Amino acid sequence: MEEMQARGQGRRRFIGGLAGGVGLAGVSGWLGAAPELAARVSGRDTYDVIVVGAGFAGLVAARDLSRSGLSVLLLEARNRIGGRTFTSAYAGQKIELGGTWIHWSQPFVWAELNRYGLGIEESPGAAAETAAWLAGGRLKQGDAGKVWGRIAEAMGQFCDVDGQGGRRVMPLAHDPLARRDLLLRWDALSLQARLAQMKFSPELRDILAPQLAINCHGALSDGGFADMLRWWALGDYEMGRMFDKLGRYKIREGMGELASRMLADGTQDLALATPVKAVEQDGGLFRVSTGRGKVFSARSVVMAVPLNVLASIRFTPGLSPVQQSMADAGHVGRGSKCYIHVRQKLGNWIGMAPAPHPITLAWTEKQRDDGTLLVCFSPPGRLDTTDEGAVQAALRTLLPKVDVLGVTGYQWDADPYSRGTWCWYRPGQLTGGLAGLRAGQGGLFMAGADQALGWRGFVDGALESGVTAARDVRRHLGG
Amino acid sequence: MFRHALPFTALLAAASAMAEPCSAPKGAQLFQRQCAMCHVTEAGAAHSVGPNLRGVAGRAIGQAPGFAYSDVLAEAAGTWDEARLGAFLAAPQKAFPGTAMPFQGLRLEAERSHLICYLQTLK
Repeated sequence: MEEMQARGQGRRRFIGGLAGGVGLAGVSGWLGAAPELAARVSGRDTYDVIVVGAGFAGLVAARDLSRSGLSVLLLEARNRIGGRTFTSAYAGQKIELGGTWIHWSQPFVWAELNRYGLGIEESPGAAAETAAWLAGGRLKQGDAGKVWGRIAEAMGQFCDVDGQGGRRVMPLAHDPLARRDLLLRWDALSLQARLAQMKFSPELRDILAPQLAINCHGALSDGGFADMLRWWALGDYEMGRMFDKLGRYKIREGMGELASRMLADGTQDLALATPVKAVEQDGGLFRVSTGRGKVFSARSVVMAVPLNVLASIRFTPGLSPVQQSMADAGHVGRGSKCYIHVRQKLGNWIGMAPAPHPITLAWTEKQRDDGTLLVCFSPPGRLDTTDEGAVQAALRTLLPKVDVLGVTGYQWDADPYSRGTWCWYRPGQLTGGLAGLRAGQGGLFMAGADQALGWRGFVDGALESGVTAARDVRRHLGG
Repeated sequence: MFRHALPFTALLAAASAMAEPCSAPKGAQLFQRQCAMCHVTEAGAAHSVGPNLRGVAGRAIGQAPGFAYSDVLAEAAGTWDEARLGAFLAAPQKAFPGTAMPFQGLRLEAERSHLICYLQTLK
């Protein structure tokens, strides 16, 4: 590792990318002016703990471990921190390209907001006034409250597997396997299979299906039904409250601000643009190999990478059979998210369409002086967000006269360091894989939003898993 | 001959697509929406998530000083001429398998052409 003296006098230690000091340059560019983040670079290559992945799971684990006095190296493959969140801008307005919404009933992320004094703001379309939907391929428009009422009733029936609205099968939202015995038969079903059990009218099916599709961000035949029961329990067994928690409130200062605050709050070394190739256990020491042959050593390792990239890292000894099977199958969430700027002022609008329509759900994210900014979610591979003509054609099936002025988004599925969006398990993965995936072995601990107990697939779950991993590492090291 | 009809039509279509003059302003707009979240273009500015693209046209591939490229780009030979930029922007993973650029590519030839025109202005 080339050493370099960086700007600033703070206590943060950055290790640049392997080609030089690029890591520092990259992250400071993204974080804006943050000279206090720049500091000296450490030349060491042995640590108490190596944390792999600087998404929220890795950030909180590195912060908590370094603050408890351990030497920590945080390794990040990309040239930025934040993982599957990325705060950017469109035409002067801040936008979240990845994970966006949080809620005060998400305990870990709410605690971080309070810790750093950050606020929230509302996405207006989450409480839409007008709606458009496709039923039997025909466009319907109307009062959002009315269609929302129908969706809520249908979702309630969909999740009522026990005559108690799901409360018996999923009684503890942060302990999803509490009634594994009752959950097993439901975890065998896909969302598609559960939908086939329901006696819904074709129209009701067509307005419920987009809700299920946006939740799993994939095909209903791939998404497990058990994760819907889990979200339902996290949402207090009620549609309105569930959606408020999923898509209504975001961090006013941006996800990037929370990430940078957390980074600045720890004393770990950070190496950006440093993808990990292999993790090898040798007695009581782990050897972590990065690109171009650089090897770091530590007494403990926290793997805080997305489930869908775990299989690209070589482990010696290998992952457990359950972990390997989970890594090989991956999770379902591989759809797209984009922002669409349209000329028309749509007010607080929401639109929805069942697969294979290229738009699953879209809603007003911001009413602008020059039109409306919509946020739009699509099934995997259905919408080319670089083709504004294609986006306009798709959107016109819901808003016939709309003019698209611009489209922007981040291609999470094409990113080798995420290979997807948020986590939704396949049938059987919750009861058959979650516990095994989480199991640490001999100083190697697993973390990440995709294996949290509570808000799995959310920033809150990432934080939960990182806090948990830090606790496990301290116990392992006897600290 | 019917056998020749299809290729001939395809040729005409290709010719007409190529005939559209590229537009740097259109390319700049496309850049803002699809690329600017990761790439800066200001002369002398530090690299961002991706490398600074000032001067990328004609530059040696994978050699911008101070940027940590993926192995495949760092070890690539040649310079970013129009053909290589076009192939990379059309399908990054096909042009350089293993690139870390999280982008599936611009499907439309005209868009690639506008974008390359814009990149060529970044001297």
